[in-house]
Amino acid sequence: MKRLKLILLRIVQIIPVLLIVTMLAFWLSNVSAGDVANVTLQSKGIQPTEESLAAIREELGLNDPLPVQYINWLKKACRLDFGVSFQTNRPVTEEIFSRFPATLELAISASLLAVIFAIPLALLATRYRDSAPDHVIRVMSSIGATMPDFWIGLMLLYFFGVQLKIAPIVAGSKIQNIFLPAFTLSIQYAATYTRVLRGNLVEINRLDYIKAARARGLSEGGALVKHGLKNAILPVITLIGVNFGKLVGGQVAIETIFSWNGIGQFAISCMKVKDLPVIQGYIIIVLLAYVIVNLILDVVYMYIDPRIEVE
Amino acid sequence: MNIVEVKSLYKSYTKSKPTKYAVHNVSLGIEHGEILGLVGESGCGKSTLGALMLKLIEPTKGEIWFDGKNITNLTFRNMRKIRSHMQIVFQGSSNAFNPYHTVRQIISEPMDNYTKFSSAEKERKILACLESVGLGAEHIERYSGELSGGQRQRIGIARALILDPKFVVCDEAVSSVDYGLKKQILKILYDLKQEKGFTYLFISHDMAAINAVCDRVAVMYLGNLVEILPSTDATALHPYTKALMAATLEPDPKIKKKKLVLFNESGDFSYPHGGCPFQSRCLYASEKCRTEDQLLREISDGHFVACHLI
Repeated sequence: MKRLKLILLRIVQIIPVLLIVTMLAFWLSNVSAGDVANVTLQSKGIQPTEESLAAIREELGLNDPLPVQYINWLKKACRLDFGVSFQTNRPVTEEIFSRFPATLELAISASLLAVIFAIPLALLATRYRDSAPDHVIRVMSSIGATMPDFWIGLMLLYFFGVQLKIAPIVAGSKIQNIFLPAFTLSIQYAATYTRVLRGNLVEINRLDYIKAARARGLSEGGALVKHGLKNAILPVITLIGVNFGKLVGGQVAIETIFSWNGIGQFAISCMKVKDLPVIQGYIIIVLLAYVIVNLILDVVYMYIDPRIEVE
Repeated sequence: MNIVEVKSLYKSYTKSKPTKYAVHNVSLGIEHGEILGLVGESGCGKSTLGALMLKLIEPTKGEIWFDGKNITNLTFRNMRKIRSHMQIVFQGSSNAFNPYHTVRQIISEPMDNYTKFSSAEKERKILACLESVGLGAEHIERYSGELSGGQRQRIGIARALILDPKFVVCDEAVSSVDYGLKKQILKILYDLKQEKGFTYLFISHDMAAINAVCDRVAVMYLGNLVEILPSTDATALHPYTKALMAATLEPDPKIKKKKLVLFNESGDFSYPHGGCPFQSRCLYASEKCRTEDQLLREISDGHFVACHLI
């Protein structure tokens, strides 16, 4: 009951966040685009003249004060109507939703893979700290955290795609081909999570309740999993949430290398031509995904740390 | 009969070629049903010796016997079987418990690992155990962070005693609590011993607590046993023990004790190469003390001292 209440509270707390971010997104994209009327006209291939500018201002409601424009925009945005892309002349929502699932799949897979790699590696490193497995894992995680992902991607593509021919060179957003791009993205996160988790585990491992867990009938490894892992993983969950924001915004380099038709490439191309409706829609959709994932992580948090209660 | 005995035990925390020892050639037996006090200053190896007796850490050299059985080289699986008979109580700091576990989870963990009680039975045992340390059922849902220092200390005792162990190491079990509470906890430990016949190794640097409950007292200095007193009122003979005894604080601030100079308070106190470990601080050290090792000798019945001067 308490948990349900807390989850509801979190959802309510999201509303002001959404409002503030949409406000900023609307305002900043308007400011940075310069004269919206001018940009709109040019995108339609119409030579801006005094009359055409006045007409388009009237049509787009640009003569209204900015807050009124925002409210009108927000009303439409609530129905996921962001207007029509200047570039492609198709509805923004359609454009985004044809690409966003691919990005989301990639972001979720990469986050999951990173955790799946990090947990056993960190446990292994802690269990055998300061001996060979620990040293190997530490060196590997340092390398993993510093290698550029596009380079790893190219190498993997060359090795598995060109040499071994077991992976397609063009992944084409197909879910069965997701492993290589997701793996490539996950390496740097897996490396960071391993280091953070190992550090926390070693710290916790020194505490009396782990040291004496064997007296209560647990093995050293068992104590590490039962008492150590749950305590050590909380900061990693926070990191997953933060990093997910980066991932869900699209990964231009990885999308390009693996021909993964995600939102990253599209968003960049639209920003270049000041495709305002797309930029605004993109910010909102990414924000929504980010907020939802962090909400889910909050719930996970609650189950791991039962002490979190409504204050 | 000795329930626990260590023979020529060494422990070094350095990995290869040990040069410094936390426990250095210690032989000590603890008799069934007694409370053996283990005193010495911080860092002298008391806790290490306690952990070694439970084989929570591996000795570098020497033997550990428990209940007439050599457990030095037992495998994890075989060791696990006898671990339920030996438990440890720590200082009731927050580190002694998993912060995400409730009192119920904390106390039931040893039962989960060693017994097949039904949850109703466990609950009953937990409540009985809480009662025996003076806590009520209202504490059962709390997290360790929600408890006071004294309550935490008692939860630590309850967790150690839930399986009715034969041997309990109390590692500074009353050091973090105030004077009134200390008396209360010592009484709990003492009553439980009388009632259930537990054997304790009572590690402390607090002479007053040691004097209150212990049958015999072993004194440690820099990893070595320097004296074993057959009773708490036996006359200390080793210069270090004398100094320790004299350092007992008087609870009444009106009684001012004169500060006695009992050992050198400055100089190099690192572990000496050869000879008596106490030589650099001892006021009476002679040439012999600096060159010849001195092991524990029985001076009178049950009274052992390691000193060239006696």
